[in-house]
Amino acid sequence: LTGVPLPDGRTLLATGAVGDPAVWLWDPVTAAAVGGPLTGNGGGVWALAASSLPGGGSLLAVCDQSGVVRVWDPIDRTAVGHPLAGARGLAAMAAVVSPDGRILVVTGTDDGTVLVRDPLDGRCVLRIRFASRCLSLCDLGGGRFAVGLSDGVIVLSLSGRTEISTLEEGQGARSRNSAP
Amino acid sequence: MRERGRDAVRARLGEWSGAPAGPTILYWVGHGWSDDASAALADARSPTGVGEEGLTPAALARWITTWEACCPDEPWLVVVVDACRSARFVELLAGELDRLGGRRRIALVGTSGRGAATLGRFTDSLDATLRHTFAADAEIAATRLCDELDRTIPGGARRFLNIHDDAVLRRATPVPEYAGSLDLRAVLTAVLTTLSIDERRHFVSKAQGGELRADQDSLGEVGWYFTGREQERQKILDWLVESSGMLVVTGRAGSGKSALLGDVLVRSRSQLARVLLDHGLLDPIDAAPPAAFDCTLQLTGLAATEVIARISEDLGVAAPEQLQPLTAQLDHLTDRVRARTPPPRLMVDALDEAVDPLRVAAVLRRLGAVAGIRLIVGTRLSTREGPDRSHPADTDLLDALAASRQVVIERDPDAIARYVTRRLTAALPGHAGNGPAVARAAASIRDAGQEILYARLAVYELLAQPDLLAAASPVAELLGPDHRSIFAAAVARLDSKNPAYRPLLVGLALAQGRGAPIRDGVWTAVAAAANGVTVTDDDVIALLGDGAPYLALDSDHGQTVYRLAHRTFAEHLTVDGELTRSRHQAITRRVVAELETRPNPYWVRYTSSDAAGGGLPAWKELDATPRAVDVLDPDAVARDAMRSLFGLGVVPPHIAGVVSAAHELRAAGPADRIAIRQVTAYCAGILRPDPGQDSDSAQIVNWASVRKRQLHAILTGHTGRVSAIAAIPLAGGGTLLATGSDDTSVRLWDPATGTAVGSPLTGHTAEVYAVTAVPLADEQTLLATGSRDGSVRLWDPVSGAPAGDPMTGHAHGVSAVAALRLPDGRNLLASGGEDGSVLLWDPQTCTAVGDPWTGQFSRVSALVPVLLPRGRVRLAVGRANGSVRLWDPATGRSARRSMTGHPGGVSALTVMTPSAGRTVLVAAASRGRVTLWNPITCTVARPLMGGHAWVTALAAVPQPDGRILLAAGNADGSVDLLDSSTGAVVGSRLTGHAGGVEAVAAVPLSDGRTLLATGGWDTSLRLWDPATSAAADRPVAGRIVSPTRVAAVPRPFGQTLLAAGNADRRARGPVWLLDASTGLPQGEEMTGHADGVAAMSGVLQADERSLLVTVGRAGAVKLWNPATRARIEGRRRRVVTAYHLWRRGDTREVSAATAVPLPDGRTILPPRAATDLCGCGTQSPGPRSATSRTTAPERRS
Repeated sequence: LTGVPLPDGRTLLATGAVGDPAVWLWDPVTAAAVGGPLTGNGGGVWALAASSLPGGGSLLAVCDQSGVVRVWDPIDRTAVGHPLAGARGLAAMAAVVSPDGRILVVTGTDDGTVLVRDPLDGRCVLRIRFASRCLSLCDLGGGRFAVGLSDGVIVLSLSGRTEISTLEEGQGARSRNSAP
Repeated sequence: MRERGRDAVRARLGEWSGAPAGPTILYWVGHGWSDDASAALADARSPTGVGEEGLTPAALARWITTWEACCPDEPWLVVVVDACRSARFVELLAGELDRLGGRRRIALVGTSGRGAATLGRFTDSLDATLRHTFAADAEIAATRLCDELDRTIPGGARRFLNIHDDAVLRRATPVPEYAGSLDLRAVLTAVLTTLSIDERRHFVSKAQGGELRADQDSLGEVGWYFTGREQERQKILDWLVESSGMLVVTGRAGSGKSALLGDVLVRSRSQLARVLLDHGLLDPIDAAPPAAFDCTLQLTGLAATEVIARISEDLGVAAPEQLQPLTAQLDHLTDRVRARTPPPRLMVDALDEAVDPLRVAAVLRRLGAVAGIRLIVGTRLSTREGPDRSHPADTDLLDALAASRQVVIERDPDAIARYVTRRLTAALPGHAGNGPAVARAAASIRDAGQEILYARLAVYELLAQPDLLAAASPVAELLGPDHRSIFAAAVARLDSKNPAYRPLLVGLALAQGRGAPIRDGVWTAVAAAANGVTVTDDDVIALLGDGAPYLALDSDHGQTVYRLAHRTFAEHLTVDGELTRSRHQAITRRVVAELETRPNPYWVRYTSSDAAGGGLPAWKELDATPRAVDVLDPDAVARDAMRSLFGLGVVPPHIAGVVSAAHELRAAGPADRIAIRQVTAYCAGILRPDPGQDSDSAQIVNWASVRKRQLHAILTGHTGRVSAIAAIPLAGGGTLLATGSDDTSVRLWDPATGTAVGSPLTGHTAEVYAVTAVPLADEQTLLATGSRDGSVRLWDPVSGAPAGDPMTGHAHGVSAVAALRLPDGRNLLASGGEDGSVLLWDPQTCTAVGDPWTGQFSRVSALVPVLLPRGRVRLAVGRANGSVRLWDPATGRSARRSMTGHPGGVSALTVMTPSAGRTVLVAAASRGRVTLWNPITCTVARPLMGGHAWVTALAAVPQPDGRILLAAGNADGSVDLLDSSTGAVVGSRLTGHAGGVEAVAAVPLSDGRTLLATGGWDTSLRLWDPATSAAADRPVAGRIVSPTRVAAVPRPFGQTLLAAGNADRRARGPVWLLDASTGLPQGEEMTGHADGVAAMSGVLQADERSLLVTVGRAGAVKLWNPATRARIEGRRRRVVTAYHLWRRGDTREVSAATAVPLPDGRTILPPRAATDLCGCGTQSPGPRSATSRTTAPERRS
């Protein structure tokens, strides 16, 4: 279950269930389903996260049971960008708006790996493996997100990432992104 | 003049473009002109202001296009415009070519920016770059070459059209592929140039082709001017004809082993030998020349696996896979070599200069045992030998080779004198009057008592200062008694010639690794920083000529490097330890600036070595620029920091981040490195949250509230539980760590640097349960392992090879092993089985000895030797039934009394000797209790509080102050340090292991420090510094425990709070509120839900008030005002649980909640699950009153 903020200020609700590949969108005021289900999410929905961009538009990230994250445009009801694999053992997921205006999907898995990826081009913006388990994630706004770990909380900021990502490109870094 | 006029230029361009001969270099040298809009090249008739009268970029572009059209396939073209303002011309030419399009690959180089070009500057730079900077590179990346030219000729321009970064230039004349001193290289080159074109092409092409690969110079010393050694040579030649196996050619450092082998090698190539004989460069001999060798290999800088790969390549057999264990690779190679007919002939030299020579020796030993093979190995006697070093007593290299046949090169004074005479006479032609002086010099050098190397250097100095020859004193007195004194004389001579020489030599003396490259100005930067002077590349090039015999050419990390030819030279320049330290510090400071602009592999790999050389101040210099730290090789930083900083107690924060995250950083891209380093630094509790750092663009961690971790290094490699660790003292004074694992392998590690050593030792067929060091009588130490497969195995820790056969005798698994030295001096090995038996073995013969201890059926869980007063030796046997009993291995009788009272069984034992002669035995009971026993009386000496959890492993860690700490590894993954005399817990608990700790060992290092090694279920081996761990812990106030739920709580004016909650029932569901920007806690923790916080949601309502909703696991909903941290209850609750779906009787646990603010001011909290929503979606929503008449959510217990 997650709230999907819409550019017009309304919030839709997205719901998914383990064992059911469909994600439904609801209008919380009327309690009516908005359109049909978003299908094609693997064997079932493990986690949902959504965020809206300041300039309009919002994205809904759906992680299925096999650890593949698909990103949907809740308004157009279309899948966006590349499916991001590699989130098996997902503990938490969050959608974070980067300072340069992209929606990035943050996934934390129980082996302590936190990946920040851009669903539009499938690129991995940040990869950290913590020494402790990752338990929870949430967006804090302003490109920041909190990571709940088995031994505490750490808040990371993506504010410096743009420049660094360019460096990574320039070095022709191994693509460890999970393009399908 | 006519042929250089405009028409002549056009005619020649036309001729070129009309009849293309394939790839071309177009080199234009002359005058050029440009303004902001246009550019042109002048011909001989152009007016002074060239203007459009000259050759324009567009015109040249058209010629190039014509040329391209006539070329059959995709050609390449290099255009060098060496003229004034040619950079602008090149830019315009590139634009024209882009406009015209085409398939061609073109490199455009302009040599001059806005100013005038200095004629010859480009060609000189190119020449110096190719000749020296990339001297040992057979291939040069085009971009690297251009980078280097850009550096030496600032202001130029280059454009690549359709040429990719991976384009390389290959030398037509192969680079002599050897590491050797430069004067020999010059001689070699000189000889090759005196050959006729045909002769030269013959050898050069052969050298390139592989059959005779690097024939002349694969062995560093060449045969020219070689003289004497007739007997030794004859022995080698005879051996080659009559025998097979391995022949070791050995002698002292500088005795001319390599020269002799080079001579034999040259003679084995009949054509080369004939040419050299014709030129008088080779002594004629009577014996028939030897047959050619199939493989010649200079071992300098090669590791064992590389040696195997190179030999496979040269013999044309399939190379083994690099990832296999060394023993498997060796089996593969020997099998292939055995199958080869006829058996191959190999010559390898400079074993002492290989990486890990003893391991390479083990490889050669196996190879030499192949039937029919002829393997000649050139080596010093010992790894501890060098010029000017006292003759070491041991011959470890010879022992490791175990060759039956040796040729020992003894000092041959007459040959030395002949050599000197021959060289001086050849170099001073026409000076017949020099005869007596030459004879005097030869006699003096002969009598200096040194080897041929000394003579070589002395001759060079005599040729550089011929007036020494005329001096009345004997030459050897002027030059001094040893190599270092000759070098000192040379430094003085060079210093007077050019004041930049000494700083450059000092730079090389301080150079790390295999030497300093010229590329990217590394050598000059090191020299300048170390000496506080300015030196130029020109000085470097000049020194390469003037100081040739003292400099060696080598290759490191894919680039050409230079170093001082012998260690004794470097030592001469680094005598002053304090000065050297400050120089290393200065270099470190300089590198921080260089790394940002030119991250040469040398800086990336070796800056941390400079920091280690400079001590803590240098590390701090490096640490002050974290971005520079991120560029460095993390493994190198970790290694150097561990060896120089561990045990000092102070590790600068960013360096500490690299040490504890090296295993992650290794595989991380440059972008992630920054984040990982910062995260680890925070988690080590070293970096404090600092909101002011937000301005740093690279600051990724805003703040952290995490449990502080003790700094430690994590060594990965095992794929199963690490169940046993042992420190193995080596004969040379070093220490290795051996680990046994459930993955059936045993691995070796270097605890000083935190790196794996060699490949895993494989052989056991089941989990390895026990590892111990077995000292032998001759100071050698073996490694013994016991496994669930029932066998005990012995290994040689140096070569990694099994020592003797597996010892089988246990009916079940072997659960413990221990080494004993009996009073009569015998060394024994004891092993305890899962069936309760204890067996004794002789490690020399690998046979069972003595009487086993049988009849006890409780699993032996621990074995330790105990030294009692009056030299009695007993074995303490701890069992799963909780008893510890002493057993006399000499008589096979056990003590009557036992130490009992270990409920749950004995999980670990260790022995400590607090003061001489008084032994205290320590037993660990499984239930978190550690008991100290007096083994003689079998009484409890002191019960220790012990760890808080099940103690699974114990080790005694002696401290510098004489205290003995007990390290207790716990089943929950922590390690406690206990003071053995007071029983108090010392310092903070060591946490980090992700699973239970299974093994703990104290690791004494040769420099007096003692580290702690731990291993466990998480498959990692971790190294800790107990000295820093003993420092007081700094608790983090208001720490958040296992936040299984976090949520952002938006506040008015853009502020955000972070709510964290714990879903654990036992924690009783606390909720914390923190400022999201600073991490400052907002008051004390709140008591959330007794059954755990299952979901949280923060919302900023339409009235600008914020609200935190928490839901307990059973569905209870609580509302909080984040500003006051007070609960909102009763009528002030403004949350509507729409659809009334928090139904009684619903037993599913809540996993998520989302509060949704509505425009009308209400906030709704939708139900827990989609199915509910689906089923009830058409129900009318709850009351819509905007006056806060809301339905309270149903409370559930």
